[in-house]
Amino acid sequence: MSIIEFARKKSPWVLHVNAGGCNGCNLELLSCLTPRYDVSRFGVYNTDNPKHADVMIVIGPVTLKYKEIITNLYNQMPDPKVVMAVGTCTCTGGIYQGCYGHCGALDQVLPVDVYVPGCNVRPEAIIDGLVLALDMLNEKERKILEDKKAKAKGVA
Amino acid sequence: MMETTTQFSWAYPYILPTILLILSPIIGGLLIGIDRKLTARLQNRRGPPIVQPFYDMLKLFGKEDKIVNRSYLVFGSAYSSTVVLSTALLLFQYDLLVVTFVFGLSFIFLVLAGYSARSQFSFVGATRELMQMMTYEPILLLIVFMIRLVTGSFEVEAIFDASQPLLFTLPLAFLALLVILPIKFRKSPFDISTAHSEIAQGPTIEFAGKYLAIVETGHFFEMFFVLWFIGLFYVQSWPIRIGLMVFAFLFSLVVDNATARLRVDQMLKQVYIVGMILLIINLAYIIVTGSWIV
Repeated sequence: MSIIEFARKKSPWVLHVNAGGCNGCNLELLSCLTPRYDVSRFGVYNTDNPKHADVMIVIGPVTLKYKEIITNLYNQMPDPKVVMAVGTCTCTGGIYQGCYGHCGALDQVLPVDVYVPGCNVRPEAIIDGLVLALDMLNEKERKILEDKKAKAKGVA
Repeated sequence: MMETTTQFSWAYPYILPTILLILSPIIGGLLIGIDRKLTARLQNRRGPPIVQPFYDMLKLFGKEDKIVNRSYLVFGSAYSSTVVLSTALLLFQYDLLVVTFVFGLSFIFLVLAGYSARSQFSFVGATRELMQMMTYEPILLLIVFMIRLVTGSFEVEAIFDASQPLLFTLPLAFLALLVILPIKFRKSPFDISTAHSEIAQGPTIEFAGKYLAIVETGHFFEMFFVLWFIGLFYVQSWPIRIGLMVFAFLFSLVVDNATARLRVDQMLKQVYIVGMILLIINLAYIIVTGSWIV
């Protein structure tokens, strides 16, 4: 493992997006930052800025109005990036399944890497999901580099 | 043996500044790490490890950089390089007035970087940064002029040659420096320009990847520069000099945790009134005690 890959595991910067949920999972995510579950001890930092973020945590089923905004946010994040769907509504649509104003689930809009189910999710489950996401960051970066190499060979 | 010592004796005054200049980003990064750790402990949390800022830097170097346009990258790099330049000038004991102006120039470059990226948050952040500069720069310059009045020269060497430490002749100017300290560290109550979660990092919002890392490294140098400037107030003994630096750092940390963010106009009024009153009283003190060197 190179030093940058080691550092990447140590400092995930999180972008917290609410795509139209009931606010329950929002509060659980915020409680992760409180002294009881303090995720900042793993280097997690809540940036509120897609250009600085590594991990995008989406909460709530994506409303039709929010579809464009969330794809915009995703495109602004620099590689390597990981998307986490937090809460049952985000993973499958939950109780909003079949409603008229929704896309159904997050994976209809964006490629999702980690699903964290639960209504509400437990803060422990969010931390568990973050740990999974961290391993994925390095895998993604390796894949991007391999693709670049393959492209360069193809051109030559 | 005797010959070699005389041969290289000209180099001795340059050894310590060179080592410090190489170490200053490491010291600055560790200070930010200690700050985050202590803040977490004050809030009854565990907090990130002390070396966390270095992890962040290394990670940023490994990320893709999404470039919007070229001009803000140029200004961002200019910001870091001017901060490094001003730190070097201060360590090698150059003219104090030039050091202050070069340090002010670094803020100007950050403002220009904010203005050259097309984002509302970036614009608001740059405007606020400019207002912060308007607030602290006159007070810092007046402090430098008062150092000139007491020591008789703008050279840093004159501070070392002075008969008594600056802390005894300029005690209230030191307090004024503590008042503007949170502005330069970009900490609460004066973290107006980089207001986290309000305007999302202000001028540095469009920076990503290794360009963000370059700007953040400039911030490490800035931490070290400000603390070294404070150390000038007692150059006669090393323990007290380092004690002053530690005191200023802990003071800014406690103030950061105890206060909330102010508005721009509140900052302007409060810092001007408090700083100017302190400086005027100190000027009167200099004139009365006759420590004015013309």
